[in-house]
Amino acid sequence: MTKKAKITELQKKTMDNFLQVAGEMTLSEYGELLGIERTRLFRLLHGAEMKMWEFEKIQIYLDENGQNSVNWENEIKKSHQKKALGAGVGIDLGIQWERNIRLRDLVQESESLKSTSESLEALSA
Amino acid sequence: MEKSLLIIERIVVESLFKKSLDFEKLKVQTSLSESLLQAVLGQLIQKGILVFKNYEYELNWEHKSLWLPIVTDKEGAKAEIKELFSSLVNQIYEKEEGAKLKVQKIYLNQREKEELERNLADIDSFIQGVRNQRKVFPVKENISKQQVVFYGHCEYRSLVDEILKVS
Repeated sequence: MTKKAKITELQKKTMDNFLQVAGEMTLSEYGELLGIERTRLFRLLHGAEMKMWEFEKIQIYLDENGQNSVNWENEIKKSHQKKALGAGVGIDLGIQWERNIRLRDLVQESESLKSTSESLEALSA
Repeated sequence: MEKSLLIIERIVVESLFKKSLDFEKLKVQTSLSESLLQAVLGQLIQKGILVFKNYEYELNWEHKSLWLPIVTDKEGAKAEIKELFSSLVNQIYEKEEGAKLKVQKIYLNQREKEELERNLADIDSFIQGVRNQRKVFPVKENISKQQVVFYGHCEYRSLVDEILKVS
């Protein structure tokens, strides 16, 4: 069974880069390129957690094929920032954003109510 | 469905907390413009928080379980306090009359900290005293004319740490 929940941004980016550089092939051919069992590769593509040696093999393949390997330091930093935002101000900003939109909608609705009532008054005058 | 109340919705809910009111009285209580109040009332009725009965608006106590979680939502309360505080800060910087805010940074030793706590507790007692007095000698209240008082303190370091959490 695959473990989709464990896939990280770094792993996803690594696999995406690999597939892009290697082009369309069968699983067995991908496996041969990397020296990874095709069944294992299938699991990795479906979200199983990647091992360090597998990550290294893909990075080496990307390097050898003229593609910049995935900058893991940057990816980890980004993921960390995302988590920090999600835990703190990210949620606050989300709430604040949603409240601002609701307030704006209410004010707009009130302005349209006002102009309708002004038009009605003008008609009745 | 939204999880929290906006401040303009809260002021209407607070105005109706003790008794139902007609549109004109609500307008006085909330100080909202007629069209904005209409829009807010429409929203609150749609959410099931208010009902319109005998030409008056009242809280939908019969189905309170549906809306009380919205009124008491913790994240919503946090957002409201921030909005009120931010509004006060803006007013201070625009020199709005009647708005007061003092921010003081000072190192206090243990004894002084305890004294500060006692003084803040005095403010608490004063406010509670006024509330109790109102129960015995009610006065004609206006929700929009209530004083909004903020007080509290914190170590400078914790505030800085909180700010750094997001950078």
